Amino acid sequence: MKRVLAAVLLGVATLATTAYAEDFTFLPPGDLIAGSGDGRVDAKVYAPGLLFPIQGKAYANSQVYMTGGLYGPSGSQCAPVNFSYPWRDNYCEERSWDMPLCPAGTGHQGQDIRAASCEGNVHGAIAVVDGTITSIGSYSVYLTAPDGTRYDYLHMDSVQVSVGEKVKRGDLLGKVSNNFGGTSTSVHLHFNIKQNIANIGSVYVPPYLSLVTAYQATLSQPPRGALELADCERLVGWAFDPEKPGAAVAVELDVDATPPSNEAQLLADRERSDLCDTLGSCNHAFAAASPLSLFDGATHAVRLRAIDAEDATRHELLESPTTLACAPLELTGARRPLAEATATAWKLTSFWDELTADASALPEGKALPSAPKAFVDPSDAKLIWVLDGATRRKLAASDAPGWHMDPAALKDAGAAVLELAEGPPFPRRAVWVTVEGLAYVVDDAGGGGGGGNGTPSLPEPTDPEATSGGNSASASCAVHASTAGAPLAPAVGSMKNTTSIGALAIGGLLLVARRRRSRLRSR
Amino acid sequence: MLAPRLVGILALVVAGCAESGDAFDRRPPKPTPTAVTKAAPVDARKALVGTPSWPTSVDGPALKELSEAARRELAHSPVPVLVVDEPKLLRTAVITTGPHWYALSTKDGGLTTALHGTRLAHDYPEIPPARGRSEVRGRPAFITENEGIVSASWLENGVAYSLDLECFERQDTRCQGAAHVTAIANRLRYVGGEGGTR
Repeated sequence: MKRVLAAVLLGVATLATTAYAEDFTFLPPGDLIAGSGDGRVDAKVYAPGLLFPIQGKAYANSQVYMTGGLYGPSGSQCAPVNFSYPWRDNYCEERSWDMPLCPAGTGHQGQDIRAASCEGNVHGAIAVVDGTITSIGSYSVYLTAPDGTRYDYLHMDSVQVSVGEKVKRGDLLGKVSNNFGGTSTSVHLHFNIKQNIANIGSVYVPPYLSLVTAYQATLSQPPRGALELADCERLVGWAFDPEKPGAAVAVELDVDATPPSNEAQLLADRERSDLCDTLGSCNHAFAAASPLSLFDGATHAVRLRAIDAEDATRHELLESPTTLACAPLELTGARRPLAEATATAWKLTSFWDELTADASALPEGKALPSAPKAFVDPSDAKLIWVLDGATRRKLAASDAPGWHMDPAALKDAGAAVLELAEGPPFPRRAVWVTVEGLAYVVDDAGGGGGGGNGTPSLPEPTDPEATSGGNSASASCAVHASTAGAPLAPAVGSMKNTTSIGALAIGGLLLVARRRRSRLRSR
Repeated sequence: MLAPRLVGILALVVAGCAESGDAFDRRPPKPTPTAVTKAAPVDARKALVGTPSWPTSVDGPALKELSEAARRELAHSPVPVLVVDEPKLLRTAVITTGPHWYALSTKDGGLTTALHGTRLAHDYPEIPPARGRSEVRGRPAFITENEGIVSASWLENGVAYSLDLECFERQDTRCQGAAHVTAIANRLRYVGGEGGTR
């Protein structure tokens, strides 16, 4: 067993710098705009480890003394200078009310922060810590942490939470806006930190350096992830971009250090419950059947790297690179003609699904249905029914990645599906072969549609759900989708210690590798 | 045609896989467990957890006005729970609690009232003690205005309390000046908590 410690997973990630990290600068704490009051010079981070409260770029500076503000230079609050670095502290900016930590004893209670643009109700404001929503006013949301520190978010719109709700760090609370109870203000987030200070009581503490460190942490965190399982059946893992916690990260697969094709990518967008607590959201897993282009008996070096959508830099997953040596497959059954449009509809690609093998000895069966139509068994979520001609054919949900299906996105089978005759099990994965330049998919049961002996004569595939709004897999298949939280197939474990000698003894016929470009049959 | 009836599976005869071990567990492990209940996940060197003193009598009428859910929640409060003295506000009040704190939020007539009490203090030795210039409940208090939200904060029962009043309309006099927030604070009622008399 190999285990990866949390500290390794979360700490070893390469510290790449994104484009906007490079130009981020900030003025020292307490350095207010001249004439706007006396700031507090304080290097303390009162709330270490915060997640930055706004998604994307942000600019901390005064709303009152910057361009367009009541006491600032004339112009628009949307002026570019307001949306540029360096950041500037405005805690203790001149106000008239008690603020015991301000040099003047009075001042501004928090920090004003502009989001990436001056558009209201666009940029997300997120929970800086795990905590409880303890109050929501006309334009305020209070988030209280377990230690009693309160984080105040003012001026948001589209508030997504309710009083009493427990939230996780990174959860969306609302959108940065200019909500001020019917009074006008600029689009910004006013952010307070209220703490109980010994021998003083509950007061607003300086938030500036807590925000600076939170922002820096966000900027300096590239996508990261881990390759959890890599064998001849599957590639399983996760990838996550802390800068875009809600986005799916693309993972690139590089074989033998050759430049990867566009096909050689996975999308880490599958839900997996064990990721939720660690990453703050759940949809960051990937799983795919291992690419058949590797099944040639040779040893291949395989690397998986997360792609940073911001700057296209690549970041190697933990436990990558690895090596895979997968023997050629023994092919049985029939080869079913594959039209180009059909290959597209099933999301088959040369990299993932094409096996270099001689399949000319296989009999020719009926064409693969023009598009996948698959449904989850309503009484067994681990079972998928794939429509093939006049039959329904069983496919384990754990094998769905082999057909680029996402079981979580499929609808339940209705009566019309369940009344169809049951055919032989659907092949566990797509195996695309080329015979004399034409493309085929191998069907171990012999060619599909209901006969199963390779020479079927069946009606054209029909869609019994068509009149009832049935879903087809083609509408929902994610590219190289995963099992959406389903446990790994037992077959993964059963592969252990499989020897080539034993396999060869069983297989009998090893097919000679013959790589050729496939010419898709047009039908 | 060579079409032997091969019923069953496409035999994925896989040989010589480089990865030979178990389906080893590479899932990202859970974070190291931290104290999440009574011992809050804060830096112990800076956290002082006080021992509240509990008032001897609960305000029965005020308690009765609270919803069942609010009464259930306040029983978990590690600090004495003070509530507003206004039946209409009490009926809609939401009470939440944490390892060291309680909070109350209620809204009516364009006014949001938020109360918060915590026993955990952050100790920064370089910050000298300070006393509020105002007074609520017979104690020194800070009264401040934050973007139209008037707040009072004071120490009582070994707990740091704060009361925030937020008006929908900026012209609403209840959120201007110290008078209203002081009056509300002075009329707060004690209704219980996990260490209190029931």
